[in-house]
Amino acid sequence: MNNILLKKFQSIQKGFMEAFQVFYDKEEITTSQKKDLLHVRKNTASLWLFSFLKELKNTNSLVIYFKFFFK
Amino acid sequence: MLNCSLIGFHTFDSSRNFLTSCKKLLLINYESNINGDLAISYFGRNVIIRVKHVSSEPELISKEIQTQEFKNIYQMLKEKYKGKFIYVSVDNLMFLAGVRHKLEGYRRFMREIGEGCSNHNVLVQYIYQDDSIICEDERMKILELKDQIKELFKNIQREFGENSIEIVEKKITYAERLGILAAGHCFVRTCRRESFSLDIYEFLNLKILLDDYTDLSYILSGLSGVTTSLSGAVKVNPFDVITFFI
Repeated sequence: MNNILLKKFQSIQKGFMEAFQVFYDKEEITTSQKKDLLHVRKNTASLWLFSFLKELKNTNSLVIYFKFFFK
Repeated sequence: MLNCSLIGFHTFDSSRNFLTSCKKLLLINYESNINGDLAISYFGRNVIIRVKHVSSEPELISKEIQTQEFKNIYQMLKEKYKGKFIYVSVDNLMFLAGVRHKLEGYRRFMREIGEGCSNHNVLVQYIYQDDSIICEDERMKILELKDQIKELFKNIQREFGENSIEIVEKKITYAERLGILAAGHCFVRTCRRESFSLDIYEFLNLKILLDDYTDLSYILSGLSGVTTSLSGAVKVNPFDVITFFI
């Protein structure tokens, strides 16, 4: 279990570092702008929707409703 | 709203507004969940409140970049204002967009920097009219606003030259809008009230995709929702005309 978690954490860290390194060397933009660009690059509309649906799954009543709806 | 199981808000301000109104009207207090979410217990149910904002889709933008429409308008603006610092803005024609205040602020800014520097700046403002307005009174008000904008535009052109400002009023497609945003160095949005407009996210995504970070800056109204999510933005008070561009 610990190994799985560690691998997951390492993959997230690697992804973050790769994304950050793209903007790290750019001297024409400020650090706060780099932060913004990273934020824009990491958060996409599809990810937002995916996380929202994932949270919907955790709620009780709507799952029953969805099950009924998709039957 | 409380009959839902999950209520999502884009900004923390709007969620706080909802929570305080629940507290004042229904005397319900919020609690934090086991998962760390905010939750309201209402008639034996837990209503989860989620605060996370939506963003733009880079894949969709990268597809639009390859279209001819995008390339035409992008190259046209880049060639027309070569060597100039381009302020760019695309707004809906209404009072809350704050176009009149923006133009007034731009005029004051141009006066302050003097003749030598004013030749190096240009404001490209695209305006489109919303078709959903049915009320006759509102239409008249918008016509008045249009006249005021035209007058200001002519005054600025007379004072600082024809190449200091460009206002275009027409309906534009999504690809054209992206082309206009990509051509600019500085994105300006001085709306008086706004929930969560994704124009700035599209602007930043375009800069990443085109790998063009020269003179990147963005001026955002402090009253819009997006300012809370971006730390590198120049936040301005939309009612304070004097300090818009300074």
